[in-house]
Amino acid sequence: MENRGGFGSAKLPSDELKTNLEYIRNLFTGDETIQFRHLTSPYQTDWRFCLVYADGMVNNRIVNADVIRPLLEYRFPERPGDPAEFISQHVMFSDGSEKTAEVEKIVQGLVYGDSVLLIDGCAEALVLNTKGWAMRSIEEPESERSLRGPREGFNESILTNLSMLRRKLRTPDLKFHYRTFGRRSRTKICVCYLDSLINHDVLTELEKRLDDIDIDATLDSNYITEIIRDKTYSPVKTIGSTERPDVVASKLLEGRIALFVDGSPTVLTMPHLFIEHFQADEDYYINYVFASIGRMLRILSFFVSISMPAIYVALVTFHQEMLPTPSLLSIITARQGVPFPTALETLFMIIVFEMLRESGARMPGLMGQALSIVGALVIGQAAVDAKIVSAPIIIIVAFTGIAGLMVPKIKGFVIMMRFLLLGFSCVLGIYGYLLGVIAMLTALFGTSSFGVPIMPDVYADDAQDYKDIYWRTSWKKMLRRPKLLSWNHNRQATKGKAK
Amino acid sequence: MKPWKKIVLALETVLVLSLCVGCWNYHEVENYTIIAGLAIDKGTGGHKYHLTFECISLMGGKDTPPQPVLIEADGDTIFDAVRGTISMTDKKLYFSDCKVVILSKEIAENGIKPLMDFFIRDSEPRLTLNFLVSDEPTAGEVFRPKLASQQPVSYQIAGMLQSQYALGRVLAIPLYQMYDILGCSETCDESLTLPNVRVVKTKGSEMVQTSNNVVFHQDKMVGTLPEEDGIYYLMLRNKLSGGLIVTGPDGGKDITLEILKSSASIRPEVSGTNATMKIAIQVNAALAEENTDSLQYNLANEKFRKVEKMGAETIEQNVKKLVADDQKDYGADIFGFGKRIYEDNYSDWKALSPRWEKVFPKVKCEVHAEVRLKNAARAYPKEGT
Repeated sequence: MENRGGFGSAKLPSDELKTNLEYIRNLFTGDETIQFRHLTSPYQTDWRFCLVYADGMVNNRIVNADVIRPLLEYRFPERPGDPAEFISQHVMFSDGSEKTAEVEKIVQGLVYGDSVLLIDGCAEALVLNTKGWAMRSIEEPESERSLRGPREGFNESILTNLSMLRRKLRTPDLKFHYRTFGRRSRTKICVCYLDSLINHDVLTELEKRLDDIDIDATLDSNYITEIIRDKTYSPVKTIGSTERPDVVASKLLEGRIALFVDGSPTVLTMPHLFIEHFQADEDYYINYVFASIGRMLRILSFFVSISMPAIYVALVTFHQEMLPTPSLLSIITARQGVPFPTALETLFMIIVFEMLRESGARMPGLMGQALSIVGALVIGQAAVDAKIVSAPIIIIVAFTGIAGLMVPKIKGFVIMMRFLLLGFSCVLGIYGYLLGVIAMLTALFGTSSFGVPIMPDVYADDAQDYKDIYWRTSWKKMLRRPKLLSWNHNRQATKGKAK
Repeated sequence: MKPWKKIVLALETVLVLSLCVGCWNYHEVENYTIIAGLAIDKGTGGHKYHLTFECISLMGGKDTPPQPVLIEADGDTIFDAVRGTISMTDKKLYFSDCKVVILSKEIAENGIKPLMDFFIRDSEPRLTLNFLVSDEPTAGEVFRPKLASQQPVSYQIAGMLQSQYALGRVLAIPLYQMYDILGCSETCDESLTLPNVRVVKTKGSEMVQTSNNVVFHQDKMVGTLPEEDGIYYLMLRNKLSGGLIVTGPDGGKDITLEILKSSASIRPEVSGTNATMKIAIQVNAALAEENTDSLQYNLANEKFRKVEKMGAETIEQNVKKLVADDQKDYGADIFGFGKRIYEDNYSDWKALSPRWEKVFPKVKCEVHAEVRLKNAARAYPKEGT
């Protein structure tokens, strides 16, 4: 599959520099970024070369100092049998130097920042590592900030990203396997895992799914996520994603597999359990009591966020007897003169909130103030005063929204469930809501990620299995890795009775 | 089948099933009139009942509290009268927040069992409803006063009943317990009491008050217990969790004991057609006030014991008097003596029950009370230390 849409096993056409050059020029017709630099050794004029590279992709200083300079300064002897081998061994300062005649390799090198040295009288070329394009520096990822813990985040270069991971896990047990995807984008990806910890069934399954990919281009890791995920139409995430090397390292240490995609700062981890939506990286860097409280709040917010509008509608339109008298009276007072039924009103306000959120995420920063004025004053205050919506709805929607922002990792699922449960509630009241929740839980318990159920609590048989779920136990007590993820359960082998 | 067809089919099924389901009960709150309380009088114009609903008007603005509004209607049954109100208001009456039902004396004397059925059978009224008997000529009058707190009279009454734990004067029996007592009356001949309610006029303002227990013989009202007997009645029914006992040496009234906990146990002893009730009452109390100028009970332990004894004597006397008065005046088994015999020894009860009406007035009572002072705000070492 490497060669799909490529050049097969085509070779350079001849050992004449002119012919080869013409061949490559033809391949890149219309691409003016490809540069051809002709060189002739001043000492031996029959040594003629042409250096081909893509402008902007190479580091010019490396090309000048480590490729062109030694070629021009070296006192070449009489021509040896294999000039390419000779130059690679004796002349080049470049760290990577591969001798090849395959057009595929030459073209891939060229478009990926390597320089190709064509030698007159030789049917092979040297592909020299001169990569050096401009890229973003290492910054803290915007979407996963934390107050404590490492601040570095991945950038768009796969090599930089792999090096960041390598620095965290300095063991030969850490394996990296490259693959290339995309008939046109030729994107490099890297499967990465700790060989002694993983569940090898997961790795086999992942490799099987990766083999089946046939795609034009992968511009972000999500392209791959959507192709290899367990249930194509399910809204639940079964593949995790993060921009933080420390998170990837910790996931690998629990026996997961990471997948780096070149050009994307988002690294995929799998299998992905449902509870991971609520585990923040910072949980592990601060006191475990506070971390646990935060985590339970997040779980609570998840339920509040999906349930609040549904329960409100159910109570106000079906089960008024469940409301305490004072709140019933205040809701009735607030609803006097509001023209729309509660269900419609709630639906309308949730959509308005989603619009505000979406516009907040997409618009340029300078317009933020205008948005908050429109959101708070016009939609909040004025809509209530004008009796278009009732005041409790605003409170419900605001609370729902805030709770939803507590769990950004599961945003899409929350929004979907919120509308679904609201719909059920509008039709069947609390029964409908419960029906929806039952359906949701059934679906969640039936979902698995690469053969591992995403809700493994059912299979928990002792306290160790709960030590990183609702409550994050002290590191001293976390003796084992999560069950099912890893074939090597002992985290702290010398401690306790853990088996 | 193609996957998209499956999804469409599933959606259609969900839609049809949910839209056609029988439990569609969507209704907006503002289309209801909230009933806070209900008064039942004898009907006018040939109808059996005349109902006065205390409703809550919520048409006011944000800052005005809900205003009570009265709606009146006649009907041959309770529900008939309830539905009759639709001809007067555009909204349906909503009963889930109705807290009290006030009965006129006349209605109470005629028996309340037939009235209770609607409140138990209908799904809206709660089983925690409280029934009260009006001291005024009609029950509806109880709702007339404009209270200083501006809240509906019914909610004020419900609040007063809830605060009885601090006063211990009237026994609030919610609907479900009324049903138990009256339902049981066929087997145990137990009688019901309900709190009374009256309007009190003071300078410039009107208030409602509940202070006495109204005695029923089975379900028909026969009289009223005196106000000061209320606390002993509650004590006997084991429903007392607060309240004061005023006692003193030689029948004086200058020491106040605050009841912290009270428990009573009734042990029946039956021999032939005579029954004796051995009543043991244990009260934990605090010495709350000593309204004398000598502060004589404040210090020594032996004097403390004296106060305990005085308290116990007061309780014994009053309980005896309460039972004797009830036996003499009403002959209504409001203490559940019959039920105790029924629970204790069924064969005794079987022998007694046909004549219980006659036996009850002659039941003897042996009362033994014990008061323990727990708390006296005195700086004196505890006993034994």
